[in-house]
Amino acid sequence: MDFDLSQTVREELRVLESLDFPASDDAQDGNPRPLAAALGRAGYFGPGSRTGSSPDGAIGVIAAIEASTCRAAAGALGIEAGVRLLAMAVDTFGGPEPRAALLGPLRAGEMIAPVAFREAASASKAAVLQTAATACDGGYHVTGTKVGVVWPGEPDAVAVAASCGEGRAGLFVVRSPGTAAGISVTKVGGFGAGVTVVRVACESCHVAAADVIGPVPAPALYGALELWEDLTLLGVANGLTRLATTRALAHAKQAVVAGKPLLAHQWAGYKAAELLAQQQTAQLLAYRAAWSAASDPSAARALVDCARVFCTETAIRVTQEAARIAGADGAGLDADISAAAALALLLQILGTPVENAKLRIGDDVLRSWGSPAA
Amino acid sequence: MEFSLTEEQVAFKQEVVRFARAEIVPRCREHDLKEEFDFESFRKLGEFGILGLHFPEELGGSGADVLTTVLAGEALGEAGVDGGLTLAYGAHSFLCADTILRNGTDEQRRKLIPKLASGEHIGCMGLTEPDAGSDVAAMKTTARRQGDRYVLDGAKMFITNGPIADVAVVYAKTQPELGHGGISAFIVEKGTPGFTAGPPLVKMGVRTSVTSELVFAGCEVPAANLLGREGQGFLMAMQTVEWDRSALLAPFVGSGTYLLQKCAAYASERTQFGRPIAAFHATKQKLASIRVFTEAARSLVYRIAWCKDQGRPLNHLEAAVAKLFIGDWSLSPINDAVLLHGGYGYCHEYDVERVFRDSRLAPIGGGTSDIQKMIISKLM
Ligand SMILES: Cc1cc2nc3c(=O)[nH]c(=O)nc-3n(C[C@H](O)[C@H](O)[C@H](O)COP(=O)(O)OP(=O)(O)OC[C@H]3O[C@@H](n4cnc5c(N)ncnc54)[C@H](O)[C@@H]3O)c2cc1C
Repeated sequence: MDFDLSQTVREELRVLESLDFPASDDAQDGNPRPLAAALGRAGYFGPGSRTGSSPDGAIGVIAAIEASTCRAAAGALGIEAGVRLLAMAVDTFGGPEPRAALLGPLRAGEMIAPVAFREAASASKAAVLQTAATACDGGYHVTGTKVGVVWPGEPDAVAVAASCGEGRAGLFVVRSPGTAAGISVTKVGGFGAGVTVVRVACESCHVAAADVIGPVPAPALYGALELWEDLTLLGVANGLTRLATTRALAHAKQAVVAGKPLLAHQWAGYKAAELLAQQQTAQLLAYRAAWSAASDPSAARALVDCARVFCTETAIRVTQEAARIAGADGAGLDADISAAAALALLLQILGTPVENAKLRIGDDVLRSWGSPAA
Repeated sequence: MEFSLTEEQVAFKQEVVRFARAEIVPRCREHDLKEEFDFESFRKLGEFGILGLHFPEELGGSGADVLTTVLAGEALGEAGVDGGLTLAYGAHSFLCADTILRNGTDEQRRKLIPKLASGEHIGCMGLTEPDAGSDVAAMKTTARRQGDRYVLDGAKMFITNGPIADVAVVYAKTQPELGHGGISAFIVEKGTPGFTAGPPLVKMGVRTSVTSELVFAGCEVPAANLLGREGQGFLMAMQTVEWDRSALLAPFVGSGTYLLQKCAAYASERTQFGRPIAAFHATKQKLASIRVFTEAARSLVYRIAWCKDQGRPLNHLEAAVAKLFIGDWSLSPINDAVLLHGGYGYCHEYDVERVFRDSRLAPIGGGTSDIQKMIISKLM
């Protein structure tokens, strides 16, 4: 065992910390492009360890997501959902054509293309997606509806996960989704978190064969997307937790109440300690989950679910408790903590919803102890 | 970062689980009910090598690292060994024997450690006093130097293994005016005139461990029984409580796995509304809460063990975070395990109520959760 971050990860984090983050990306419906491009230039989306395929690389990715969320909460979620997820899918499953067309722009942060994966009836069982792609005209027609898609700014494309029959599935890249035929995008609420979440409906939407990642065995594609999505959310959740803890602590050290720093008042000092304890616990669990996911993905699912539940619920709790320390006079009404609190609420329903993750953990426990009820 | 256990560690942990299930667990329920210390099981822990796992081989131990030692504690909890026995083992091996091992002279070590490793002797550690618990530096017990002896006067409170211990590590003030800088540690052996233990206290949980007051009334010990040098006691106590906040927590992690096993079995057997209760979402959510807590707690306990294995002598932040988390966060999942068993969960026969009672020591012993928060907030 080794509980220290590797030299490589520490160096990558140091580079990330020293990077200038464009300020506007946290704004409601902000433009993700400056941040994506800045991060892309710094090698944030790969290749190399940033692809997360090695255990150390996977930890590095989670740590990087945490760090960038800490700097630009909503912006970081937008670019993770809008760039890295598809880059990982293309890298893992893409043939020569989509690799050539997509990987370069994605890794450079020059292309924004979220993945539309989850469906209303399949939040906990991604394996039973209804969206279907049928071959025709040198390409495919895609039909189906996706929910809970994070939609950063005005993306260049959207990659729709669909079943092709016979146990195979792919990601179908629809370019210019704002204007393309056969696809409609509807904004839904987002807890005022500064992130746009949409429903994507496709009706015989045509996708050229060159823009298809796959078809590959459906369980492999769905399993990987589900895992990456959930791991991304762990990093974002921990970033929010760290952001709120850091801000609250800074306020508690600097604000003087009744002649001494707020932190020296027991209620505030003890609450800050609770935040730090939760932050460290969540971080450790997320790193362990990421490490397991890269070491043995099939065995890691339950641990990732545990981390998904713990890190998300921690983010929700910590962002609220941090606001109490910061108070109205501190950062409580400041965009940082309040936006983090809103985003934390949103996280619980993106990816594998937290309540579904709990049911899956319960099933896994029953299975591991040989319960016939599993 | 790297989170895997070696094959040997995994095999060893499984071996401890098997041993404990076969030799110890069948005796736990009865001893808990009778509030009796189980000498037989304690002796078996010694025979198996658990009591002296991290002691050097030449002193009767196995020379294991801290992580392996923590795995043994986790395995005991996982097998279903009650919290009383694991506490008695912890107070004996870590709070008493380890302090002697780290700070004792060769002679003190050679004399005491082999017997503590085998379980022939039982050890305890006296830090807390009737009027000084969290505020260790406020202790009133004194040790006055008189020629080649020290004379101890005062009382210690809540001492695990107190009534049955052959050897006690006792903290007392040699220079009261120096506050914590005036605290020293002594070895006091059973039968020393002026040293008595009170009757066992009746407790909510950890009932197979015996806890009592220790009274020192003009208790003379040879000067050679001083551990380390005068004034080093507070630092020793801080290093010792780190064991409280690492290896002693490991059985709690293991008992999370034990509860999962018990709950999964019960949920599969128990039928209500024509279905096993395992089929209900509410049951799965309870299983999830136990599992999530167990995984989170496991990471923290392994981390502090790893820190100690790196030779980092004091790991206040890591230790306090682990202790705080396990102390405060274990209540809800363990409560879920009781609730999952319905009325049977409230009854002794199903063991989960015992785990619940035993677990309530976690936010108190070895420094309360408030004190962990104090430590963390000072380090922030
Ligand atoms: C079963 C059992 C076994 C034990 N075994 C041993 C042993 O083997 N050896 C040993 O030396 N001790 C042992 N202890 C003692 C244990 O370590 C103490 O009980 C513990 O440290 C708390 O001390 P206290 O009981 O005096 O509580 P107190 O210190 O009196 O605390 C009472 C309450 O006040 C709170 N409090 C205290 N100070 C502060 C503060 N500054 N800020 C906020 N809140 C505060 C505490 O958190 C607690 O809620 C054992 C205790 C038990 C119950």
